[in-house]
Amino acid sequence: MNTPLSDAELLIQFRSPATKEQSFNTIVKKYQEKIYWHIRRLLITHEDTNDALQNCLIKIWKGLDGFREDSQLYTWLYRIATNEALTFIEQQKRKATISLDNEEYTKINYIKADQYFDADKLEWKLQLAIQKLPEKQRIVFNLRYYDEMPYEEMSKILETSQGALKASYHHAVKKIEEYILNQ
Amino acid sequence: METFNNILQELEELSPTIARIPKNNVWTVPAGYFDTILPAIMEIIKDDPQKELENLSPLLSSLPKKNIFTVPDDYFNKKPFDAKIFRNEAKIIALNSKRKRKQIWLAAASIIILIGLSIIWWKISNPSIHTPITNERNLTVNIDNIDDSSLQNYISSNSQINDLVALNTTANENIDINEEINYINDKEINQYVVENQYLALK
Repeated sequence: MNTPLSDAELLIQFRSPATKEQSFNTIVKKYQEKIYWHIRRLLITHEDTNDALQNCLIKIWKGLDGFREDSQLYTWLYRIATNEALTFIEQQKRKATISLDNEEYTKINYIKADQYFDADKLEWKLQLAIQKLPEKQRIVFNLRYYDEMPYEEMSKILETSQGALKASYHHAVKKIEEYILNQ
Repeated sequence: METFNNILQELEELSPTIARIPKNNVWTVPAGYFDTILPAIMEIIKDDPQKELENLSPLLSSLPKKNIFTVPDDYFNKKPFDAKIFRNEAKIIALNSKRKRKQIWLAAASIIILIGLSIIWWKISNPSIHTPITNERNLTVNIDNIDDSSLQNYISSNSQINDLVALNTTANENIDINEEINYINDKEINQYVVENQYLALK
């Protein structure tokens, strides 16, 4: 049985024209679900997530040659995915000329419209509480809570100091707890 | 490097409530979605216009893509847009200046005065033209001045007027038709009917 290639080996393969496509396939298969769920937690709907994910993967294909390996591959992928999701949110805001409050309201409505939505279940209450957070805190909470990402990696993705990220996470947790206990 | 246990411990310290929430994924994706991503992306990535043209028309793809158009010398080195030109040449005209508004009011007043003076002048120069009410009053006055024989002659020579006068007279005098018919014998009635059959047909 073949052992899976490491990210470093995959990157070497990607730089060779003969194995470029095969390497890209492997990278996508390895990370597509993680990237998808990271974007989905920010954009909520599958349709929006699918659009953002496609743009994200095309950018990865175009930019992977220039990846300098200063950070881990998955950090770089998450950074592209986060930027793509934020760009998508900005575009949606401009299209609909809605305010930030309206965007939060829209996302909450999407959650409540889900066929499996159950207002009594804590998992769903948690989703509603996350949408109440400011954008940056929402990203930090998702990366820490769901992706269990160390602050060090997160700081490379969000270009923010570890101390600031830790503060953001603590604030986010307290706000979510308050929402869950009071609803 | 932090471990999963560190992250969980941090959350338990911050909020035991959230730490106890099951990390179930509440969202769903269409069945088989993750198998469709890669082919879709590869299709976009491999979208090569040159290869597409080669498949569609080898002849067209073999033609050299030489630009046949020319541009003036040094065209691309020139500034594409010089805002100064517009600043120097364009004349700014204020749309809502006080002077403009005053001119509009003066023009409107002049037109109203002109129309008023025209009506007065027209009235003075055409005294014979009257309104319908004065016309009716004048007609009554004029008819009173005409003698009866002249009116009789005019009515008899204009049968339509004659009929109208007859109808008017009948209506005014409120004559009982049945009583009037009693004075006419049957022979005269039959003759009238024969002579005026077209009336019955109508």
